[in-house]
Amino acid sequence: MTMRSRLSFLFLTIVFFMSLTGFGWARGVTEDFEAVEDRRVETNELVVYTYDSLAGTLRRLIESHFAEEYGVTVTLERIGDTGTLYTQTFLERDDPRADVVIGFDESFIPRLRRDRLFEAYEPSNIDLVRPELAVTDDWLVTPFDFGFITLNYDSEALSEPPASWDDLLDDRFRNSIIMLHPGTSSPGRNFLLASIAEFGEDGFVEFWEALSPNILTVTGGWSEGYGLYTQGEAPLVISYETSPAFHREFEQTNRYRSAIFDDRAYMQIEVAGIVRGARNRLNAERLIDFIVSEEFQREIPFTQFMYPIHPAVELPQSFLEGNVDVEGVRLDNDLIEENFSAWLEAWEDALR
Amino acid sequence: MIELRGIRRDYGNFSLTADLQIDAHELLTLFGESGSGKTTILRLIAGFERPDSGQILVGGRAVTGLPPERREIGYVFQDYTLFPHLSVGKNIAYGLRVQKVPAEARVRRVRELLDLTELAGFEDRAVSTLSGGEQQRVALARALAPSPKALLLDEPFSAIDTERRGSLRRHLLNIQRTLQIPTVFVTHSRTEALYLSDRLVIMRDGAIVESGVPRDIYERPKTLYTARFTGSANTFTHEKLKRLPEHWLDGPVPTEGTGDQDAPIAVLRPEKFEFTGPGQSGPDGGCLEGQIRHVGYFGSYCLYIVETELGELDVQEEPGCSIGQTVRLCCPAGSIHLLG
Amino acid sequence: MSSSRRAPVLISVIFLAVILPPVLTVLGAGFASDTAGVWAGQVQSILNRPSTWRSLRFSILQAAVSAALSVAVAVPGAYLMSHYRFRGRQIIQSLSLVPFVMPSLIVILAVIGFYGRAGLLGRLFGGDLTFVYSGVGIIIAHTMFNISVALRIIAGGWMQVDERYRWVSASLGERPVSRLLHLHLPLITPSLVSAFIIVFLYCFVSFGVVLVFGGVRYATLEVRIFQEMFTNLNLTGAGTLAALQLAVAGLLVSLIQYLTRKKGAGTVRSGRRFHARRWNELARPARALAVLYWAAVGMFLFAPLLTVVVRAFTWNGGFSLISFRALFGGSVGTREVSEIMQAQLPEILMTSLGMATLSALASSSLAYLCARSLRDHLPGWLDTVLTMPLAISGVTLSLGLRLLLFGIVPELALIVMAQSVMAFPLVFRNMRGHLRALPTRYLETGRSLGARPVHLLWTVEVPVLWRGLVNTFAFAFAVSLADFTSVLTIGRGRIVTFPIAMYRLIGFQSFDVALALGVVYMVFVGLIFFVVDITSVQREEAGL
Repeated sequence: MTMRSRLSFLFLTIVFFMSLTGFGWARGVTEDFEAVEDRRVETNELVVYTYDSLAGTLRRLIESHFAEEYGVTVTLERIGDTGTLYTQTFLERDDPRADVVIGFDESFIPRLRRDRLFEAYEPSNIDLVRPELAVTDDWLVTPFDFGFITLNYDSEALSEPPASWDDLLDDRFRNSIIMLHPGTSSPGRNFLLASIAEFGEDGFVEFWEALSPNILTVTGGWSEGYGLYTQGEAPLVISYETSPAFHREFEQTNRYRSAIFDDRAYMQIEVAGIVRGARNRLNAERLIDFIVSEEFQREIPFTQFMYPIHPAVELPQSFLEGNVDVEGVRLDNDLIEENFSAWLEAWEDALR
Repeated sequence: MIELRGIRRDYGNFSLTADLQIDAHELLTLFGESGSGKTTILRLIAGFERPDSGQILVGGRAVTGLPPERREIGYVFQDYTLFPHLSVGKNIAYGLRVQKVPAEARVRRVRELLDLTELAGFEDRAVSTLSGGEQQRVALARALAPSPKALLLDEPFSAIDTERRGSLRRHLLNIQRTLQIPTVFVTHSRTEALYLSDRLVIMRDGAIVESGVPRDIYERPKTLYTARFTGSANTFTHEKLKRLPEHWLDGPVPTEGTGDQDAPIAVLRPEKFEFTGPGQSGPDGGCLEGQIRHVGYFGSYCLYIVETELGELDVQEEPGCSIGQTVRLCCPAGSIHLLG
Repeated sequence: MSSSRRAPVLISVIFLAVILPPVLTVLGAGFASDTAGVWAGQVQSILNRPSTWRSLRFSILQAAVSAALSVAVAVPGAYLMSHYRFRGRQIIQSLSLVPFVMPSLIVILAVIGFYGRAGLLGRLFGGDLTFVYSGVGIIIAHTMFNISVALRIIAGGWMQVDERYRWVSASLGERPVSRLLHLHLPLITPSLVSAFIIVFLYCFVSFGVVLVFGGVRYATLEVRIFQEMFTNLNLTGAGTLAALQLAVAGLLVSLIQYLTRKKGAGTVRSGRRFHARRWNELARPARALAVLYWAAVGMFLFAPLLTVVVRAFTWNGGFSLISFRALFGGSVGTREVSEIMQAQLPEILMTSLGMATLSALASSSLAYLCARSLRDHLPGWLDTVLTMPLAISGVTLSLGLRLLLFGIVPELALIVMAQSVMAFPLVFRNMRGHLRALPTRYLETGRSLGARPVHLLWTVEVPVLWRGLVNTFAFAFAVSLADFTSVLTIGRGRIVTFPIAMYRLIGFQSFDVALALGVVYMVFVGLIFFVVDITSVQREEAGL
C-alpha cells in the first residue's frame, strides 16, 4: 500500500512538473528587443520559415541569390501549413529563430499585430507593387502573390455554367457543388467571405440556406474537394481562379474553367514579413526586396499558381486564357477577425 | 451399450483399429502407454473425430456419421475445461439449457447433481475459486446433467493431488453405480485402472491387446506388455523357468519353442514371494536363496531387490530385512503365470 | 508479488509522463498570451458553443456505428482465420492491412470512385447514387480502414479459446449456432470489446472522411480542433477541445470496459497451442459460404482501391503510363516531380522504410516490455490509460512534443517517439494476445538453468514468440507507415515519406501522379507485409 501511494505521488509530481515546463516554456517572458538600427548589420546567415508547399524552385532561387550576392547561408524551413507556421512563430516570439516568414495570407494581419510577431519594413523597390495590393499602410507585411477564389466548373459536365450568384441557386445545380469547409480550408473560408461581401452580414445566411440543396458535400480540405471534382463527382467546386490554368498548362485541356460573377471575385493575397526581433535584420530586408523583384516574381505563376505582384512579369499563355480582368473583392481584415467565429456558426446552422 | 465395430482410423504414421463392446452398466477402462490410442477411441465415440471405416453404435443406434452434439454422450477432460465465464450452477446447467429444459426443471436437476457430486452450496461460485477436485466434480456434474447415454472420462484425475484422488474415485464409482450408464475411462494410472474398472482394456500401438476383469488381467496377463504395465513383474525366460520348482508354475512348462530364447515367457508378481528362515523350506518345498541388494520402503511393505542365481528378483515383503542379508524365497504353487 | 504490483503504476507513470505534457503544452500555450481570466473565458466560450456539443454527439455516434459494423464484418473472417488453415490465409492477412495504411485522402477518392455518383457502381447499375454522402460513406470508409484491425484482434482472441470448450459443448448436445452465441461469444467478448474500443477511437478522432461523407451537418470534434488550431489560431480553443476529446474518450472507454467486465468473463485458459483445422474439415456448404464471405470482403476492400489504380493508369480518357513516367523521374509540365515531392522516389522509399522500421521496433519493444510485466495483472484503469493515445489527435501530440522537446531531442527520435506512442495501444493489445503463447514456466525453466534475462530473451522468448512478434511488428510498421501528421509537423518538411509525397503532389494539383505514387505505395506495402508474414511462417515451420 505504501509503495503504491508513494508511486502515485511520484507520478503526480512528474506530470505536474512536466506540464509546468510546458506552460512555462510556452508562456515565456515578453521582452523588448534591441532597436532595429542596432540589428541592421552584416551577418552571414538568414533563417526563413515558410509553409510546406513552397516550391523547391523558389527555395533554391533564394539560396543561390544570397550565396552569390552576399555570401550568406540561408536556412529555409518548411513548417506544415499556414496554421502551423503561425503557431510556430507565435510560440517563438520571445526568442525568435526565424528572421523572415513567407506565406501568411492577409487575413492573418490583425493577429500578427495583436501578437506583435512582425516588425515593419518598406521594401526599397516597392513602387513596383500594384498599390491595391499593399495591404498595410505601415508595411508590416509585404505581398508577394495573389489570386482569386471562385467556383470552378467542368465544362464537359456542365453546358450552362452558373452566370450569377442567383443563378447558382437554380435547380439544375442540385447536388452539384463541392464546398470546402471554411473552418479548415482557406479557399472555403474565402468563399464564405465572398458570399458575405456579396450579400452582407445579414443576407448571407439566407443565401446559404437556399444553396444548401445544391451542395453535394463539404470537404475538409481543398485536396479532397478538388479530387472529387476531377473524379467527376460534381461539376462545381470551390477553388482558385488559376486552377484551370494548371490543366491548360500541364494537361493541355480547357475542360476545367472558373465561373466569375460580375467580373468580381474574392481576392487572396499572400504576404511575407520580418519577424520582430530578427537577428539578421539586414539579410531579412534583402530577402523582402528580393521577393518583390522581377527575378523572383517571374517564377510565381508556375510554382505557386498565383498571380505575381510585379506588373512587369509577363503571364504565361495558360494564365492569359483565363479571366484576365477580375476585380478583387475583399473584406476588412479586422472585421473578419472579429466576426468570423460567429459567421462560421451561422453558416453551419444554415447548412444543417 | 456402446459398440465399436471394425473401427479404423489412419493418421499417416499411426493407425488405430478397434472392436469393442461396452455393456450398459459397465465401467470400462482404457489403459495403455501414452500414444497407444486410448484417447482417440474416446474421441471417436464422442464424435470429435470420425473413423475412416467401421461403425459406432450407442444404445443400438448407429452414430458414426452424427456430429458430437447429436450423440448425447457426456465427456470429461483431464483439466476440467469448465467455462470460465459461467458460475458453477450455470456450468452444470449448460447442457440443460441447450436442450431447452424449462427453468424450473433445470434448477431441480442442477440441485440433484450438486447433491450427487457433494457440491451443494457451490452453485453461485465462480469456477476459478474452486480447487482442482471441486472443479472436476463440476465437470462431471456438467457432463451428467443432460442424462447422457454414455459417459466418457479422459484421465479425469491426473491433474489432481494424489491424496484427493481417492475420494474422487469413490465419488465416481458411487455415481456410476447410481446412474448405471456405460462409462469409458481413460487412464495411465494402474491403481485407478485396477481399482475402478469393471473391465480393463489394454491398448498398445493403436490396437487392443487384451481385455478382462482387473483381477484376471493382473494375475493372468496374456502379454508381457500387460504384465509390466499393470504392475511390477519378475520375468522368466524358458531357460530360467526350467531351473525353478515345477509346481510354482500355473501350467506345464511349454516345450521349447522356435522363437527368441531370450524372450520371457512367464511372470511372477513380487508379492507372491515369501521369505522363509534359513534352513526352513517353503510350504510346498523348494526355494531360492539370495542376498538382499536394495530395500525400498513403502510403509506397510518393502520392495526388496534380491540377487539370486536366476538374476535379480523383485520381492514384496514385510519390512524387517536389511541390505546384505541372505534370504530364502518361496512361493505358493501356481504363482508363476505362463504368458499367452 | 511486489513487482507485479509495482509494474502497473510504474508503467502508467512513464506513459502519462510521455502523453500528457504535450497535450497540456498545447492547452497551456494559449495561456501565455492572455491573462488567466481571458484564458478561462476562452475555454468557457468554447464549451458554451452548441456546435462543440453537437460535434461531440456526432463523433460518438458515428464512431460507435462504424466500430460496431467493422467488428461485425470482421467476426466471420476472424473465425475462419483462427479456426482453419487454408491457402491464402497469409495473403488475406497481409492484404487486409493495405487499406489501413492508405492516406485517408486516397481511401476517400477510392470510396467515391466506387460508390460515388461517377463511380463504378453507378456506371454499372445506373442511377444517380448520392447515398455515400448521407453518412453511409463514413461507415464504408471507416470499415475499410479498420477491418484489418478488427480482424487481427478478434482472430487473436479466438485463438486463445481452448478448443476443448467446443468439444465439451458438443458433447452436451449444443448445435454450432447456439455454441457460437452462448459459448464463443462470451469467451471472445474481451477481444470483441478490445477491437470495438480501438476502432471506436480511430473513428472518434477521424477527420477528413467524416467531413467529406457527412458534410457540415456531421462535423466531428476533430474537425473543431483543426478549425481552432489552424483557422482560428486559437491554441486555447484547440487545447480545450483536445482535452475534452481525451476526457470523453477516457470516460467512454472506461464505461465500455466496466459494462463488459461486470459479467466477469474470466481468463481463458492459456498456454495450450491452438490447432487450426484443415480447410476441408469444413462442410461443403459452409466452405462455399466462407469463400463467398472472403470474396465479398475482398470486393469491399479492394474494388474501391482498384478504381484508384485505374485512375492512375488513365490519361484523357484512355490507358496511359504518363503518370508513372512522370513519377519515375519525369515532370509535370515544367516542374520535375521529384522537385514537387521534394525528394527522389528511392529516397522516399528508403525514408519510409527506415522510419517505419525504427518506429515499429521502438513501439513493439515497448509494448513487449509492458505486456510482459503486466501479463498477470492488468487493472482495468491501466488498460484504459494505455488506450488513450488513440484519443489524442495526432496534431496535438506532435505539436506538443515538438514544442516541448524540439532542440533537446533530435527530430528523427521525436518522430519515432510520436509514432510509437500513437501506435502503442494497438501494438500493445496485439502483443498481449501473442504473449499467451509463452507460458511463464518456460521462462522459469530458463532462469533455473541459469539464463540471464537478456540471454533468455534471445534464446527463449524471441524464438518461441517469433510469429507473434513478427505479426505485431508488421502491425506497428503499418501504423507508422501511414502516419502523416507527426512526420510533417515534427519533420519540418525535410523528411519525406509516401503520404507526405502524395500530399505534396496533390497540393500541386497533380492528382494522377499522386495516385500513381499511391499505386506504387500499395504494391510496396503489400509486398512488405507479404514478405514479413511469409518469413514468420517459414521460420515457424522450420521448427523455430
